[in-house]
Amino acid sequence: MRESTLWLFDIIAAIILVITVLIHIFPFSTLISGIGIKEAVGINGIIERGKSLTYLVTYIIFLAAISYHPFYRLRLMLIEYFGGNSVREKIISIGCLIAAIILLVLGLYATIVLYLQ
Amino acid sequence: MSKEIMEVTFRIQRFDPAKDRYPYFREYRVPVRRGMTVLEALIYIKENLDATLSFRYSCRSAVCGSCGMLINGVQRLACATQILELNTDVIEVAPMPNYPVIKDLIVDLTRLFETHRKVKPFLIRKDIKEQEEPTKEYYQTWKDIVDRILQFTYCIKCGMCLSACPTVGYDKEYLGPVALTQAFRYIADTRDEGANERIKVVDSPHGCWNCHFAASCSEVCPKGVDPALAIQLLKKVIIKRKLGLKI
Repeated sequence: MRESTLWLFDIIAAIILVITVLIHIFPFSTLISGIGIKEAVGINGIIERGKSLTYLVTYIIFLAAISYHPFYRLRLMLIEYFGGNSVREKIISIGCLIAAIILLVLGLYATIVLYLQ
Repeated sequence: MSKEIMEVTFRIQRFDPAKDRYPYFREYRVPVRRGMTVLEALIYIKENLDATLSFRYSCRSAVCGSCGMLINGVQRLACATQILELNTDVIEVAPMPNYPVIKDLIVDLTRLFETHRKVKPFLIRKDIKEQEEPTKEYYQTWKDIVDRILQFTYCIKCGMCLSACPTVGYDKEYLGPVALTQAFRYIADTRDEGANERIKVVDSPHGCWNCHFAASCSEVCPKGVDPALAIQLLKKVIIKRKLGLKI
């Protein structure tokens, strides 16, 4: 895959993160239901949101973006410092991909388990 | 010739790989006249104080790019740097960073030329017969030239932008501002038909996407080329082509 394609995905992931991180930090339920921020970010608020289908979808999108964006950037930095050799660069790319997948799976597990509870 | 105004101390980094283990600084006192450049001071030192001092220069009028060096911590052309405008009585001169040092202020510019060559810095046309036996000129409007490529054609390949670029410093494979700017210069040229070939080179792990927009290259360019702008325009061209939009 061309580097420009990976970069384009990264920009799209960054835009998605702007929206989903805001949702994550300032839950919209506080605006809609009038529940205060303190209650919304407390354990009960988190569990209540976790059971909502809207939040499940939002968090899955959030997880996909946050699994891609930082690891793509980390890959770029590592290739810049330690690259110069196609084998080393492949190892770095695969390593970052594996780390991203692990993070994604862990996040999905927590999100889906909470939803199904 | 104007009379001497003051004496300035030049701290010059010296290094002879045949004799020295590490670089070191040597100081020289130079009488300075109004309008005197750093290059003139270096020539004075070589002619009167220390004939072993080595440095590159040629045109002495900021068109050849040979005398690029680090003057008081900033990449400058020695021939275009007036001593009195530096406003100090101690001037530190060192070779450009990011290049291996050959001797004293002379650096090995192989990386500059090799990366430049990789992007095929010449017009590429599919009409081979017309190129070999031309029947007419390739028509361009003044707008084609001025709006698209003119400022990027001013590059004199002095290499100061690569010297200032932090990415060039730690990524040994990075193409660098000169190559990327010239890649854009030719891609944007309405006479050129080699965009695909150049994009294959610059759209790569050590290509234009490694530019993090420090813009040090544009800060130091003596000809106002603005390589940082060219690289961002190059990214825009690549993405537009990818999305099927008109460039």
